[in-house]
Amino acid sequence: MKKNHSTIKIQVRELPPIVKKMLENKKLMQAYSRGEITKEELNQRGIHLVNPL
Amino acid sequence: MLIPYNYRFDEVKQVFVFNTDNDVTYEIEINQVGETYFPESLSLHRICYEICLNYCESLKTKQDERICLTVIKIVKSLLLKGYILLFICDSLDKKQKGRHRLFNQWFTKYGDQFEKSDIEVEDDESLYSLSWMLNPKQRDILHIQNIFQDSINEHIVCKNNT
Repeated sequence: MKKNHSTIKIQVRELPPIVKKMLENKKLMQAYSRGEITKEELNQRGIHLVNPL
Repeated sequence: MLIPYNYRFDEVKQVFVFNTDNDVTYEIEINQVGETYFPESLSLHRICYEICLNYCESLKTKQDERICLTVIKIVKSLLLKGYILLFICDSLDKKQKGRHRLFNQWFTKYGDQFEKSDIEVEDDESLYSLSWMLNPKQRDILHIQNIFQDSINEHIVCKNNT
């Protein structure tokens, strides 16, 4: 069976920008889900929720 | 036979929503990130999304396979449309390894048609698990994989592949 899953483990001195941004977005999306921030605030922080289906 | 829960897209809140038999509400948020994360890779601008699964932890009860089936159904629908999905496990409560393991179990069970790559990033403070998934029928799969790797590579001190 073809392997369709790979893992890379890396150590960094400083988090890459993409990881920092993903963590920041995650916190904001969780806050939005809990009703702590509005959709407008989310949009202002560069997050635009969509339905791509 | 177990079946996924019915889900809907909440047009006001702009999230996918489903309710479980235990009356826990799950929300799936999808954010278009291609242009933000990979500004120089035009081919990713319209097809790259990050996905976030939210629920009220205090209401979570026993393991419910239908939650997995529902999440996987939504994820598969997106991948079949040719989209690339990124996600990162929440690390604030230090339970990211458990979350990562759970999602891997889901993927092992139901994700055989798709390709998933995990990157575990460790700095002095914590371990962060991020993943990206795509349809292996995707054009330019190697090119896409290289773009993701390059976004991380310059910061690496030490690397292991499995």
